[in-house]
Amino acid sequence: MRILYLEMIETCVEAKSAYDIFFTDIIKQGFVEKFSDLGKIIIKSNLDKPFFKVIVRGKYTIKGIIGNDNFRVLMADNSGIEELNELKYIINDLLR
Amino acid sequence: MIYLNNTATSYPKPISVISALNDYFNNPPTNFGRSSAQSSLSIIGKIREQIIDFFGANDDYNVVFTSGSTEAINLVIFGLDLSTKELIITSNEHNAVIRPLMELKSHNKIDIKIADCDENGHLDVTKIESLINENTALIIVNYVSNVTGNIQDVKSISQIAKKHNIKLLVDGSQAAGNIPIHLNESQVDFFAFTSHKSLYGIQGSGGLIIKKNLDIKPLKYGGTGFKSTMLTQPDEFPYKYESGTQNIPGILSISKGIEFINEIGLDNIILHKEKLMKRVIHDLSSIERVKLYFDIQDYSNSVLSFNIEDYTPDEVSYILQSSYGIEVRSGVHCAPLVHHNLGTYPSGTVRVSPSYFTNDNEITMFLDAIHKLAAE
Repeated sequence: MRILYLEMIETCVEAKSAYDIFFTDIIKQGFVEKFSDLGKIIIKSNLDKPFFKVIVRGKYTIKGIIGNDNFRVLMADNSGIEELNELKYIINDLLR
Repeated sequence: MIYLNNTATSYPKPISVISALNDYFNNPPTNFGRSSAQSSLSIIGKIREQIIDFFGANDDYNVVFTSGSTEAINLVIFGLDLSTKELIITSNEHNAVIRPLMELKSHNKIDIKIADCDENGHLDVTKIESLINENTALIIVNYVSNVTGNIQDVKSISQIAKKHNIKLLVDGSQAAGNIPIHLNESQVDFFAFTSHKSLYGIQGSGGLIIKKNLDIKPLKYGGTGFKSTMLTQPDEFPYKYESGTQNIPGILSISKGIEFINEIGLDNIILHKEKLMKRVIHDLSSIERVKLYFDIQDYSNSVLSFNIEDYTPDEVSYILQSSYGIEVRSGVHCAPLVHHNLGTYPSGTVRVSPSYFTNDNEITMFLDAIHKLAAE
């Protein structure tokens, strides 16, 4: 599994800036749990497809559905391209 | 996909609208005023009459075609001489009203007063009257809120405006095709509408219905297909306001959308949505962790705003879309002021809005998904 591409999404709907990150494979719970060192993880497993959220305070919030091939990153107000690149680096590291 | 975002734009469109546009694009263009086809003039003229009739207006009113409500509202705000005047708006207003006004205000040209709604989105019209002074020149009211679905008492507001000799602009974006409108009775001065919402037309079309005795400056200048040897803008209505090639497909879609509504009957469309929304309200009200934002006394059944405890609005819409294939909308819905009244600023609400084409099964699937989200 690796990052396929990033897509900037309509910002008025979400945070100041937001991106969908698409992967070559579906997201599994084990992958989400690897983010535990970064911040707080919330998983709502009572839904048909579990919803997860990773809150990295002051930088970004990741949210997505386990079983889908993408998740959404909502950048904090003072975060920008530097934090996004840092996240991409972290994801690539976790996927190794 | 289950589409419950008709307040943003309606989907699907009636077959008759699609067929008419298909015919239009598969035939030589009928370019209003710019071809030898005399029929184009009469077609557009008939559509103006059809619109006047649909909105319960009479010969006292005219129609100007615009790209939608936003342009129609801009035409009034920048077309009237509002320098140094005061304006009254309600907290229900959309950014289509707020932003042009803030632009004028930034040049110190106007003062804006806001009549606030209560925590359910209800507006007490006496609040508007209490804000009037000798310098008030214009009142702007959103007929049906795109956040709460509440209907404003436009007739009473119009009476207040007339009593004080103040112009009234009504933003009819969510009202057109959702509730019966009788401009003759309400006697509003300006009524802005859009095609692509509950009139079932396409994006980029709409208009301004304007009282004939009122004169405002055009928003744009240029070719009108009329008195083309003149180097200055013609003064004749509606040409003075309609520079540039007309959006004929858009205008056609307004006409076909109105035809569709008239064939089904606006009352039947209202009944259908009322039935669906009563079910949604009844069901969601039974969920302890769901909060609804509306006032049952003034409710239009066009849209319902809600939130679910422990979820942000954007999380709810994201989950509904990504996990259940249900399209709703989240956020402040381009109407930020009312969220201060509702207590939902800045994250906003989730907004569900069915159309005549929404069926019971789709509502069942939506409600099932909400029950799962709201479960502990």
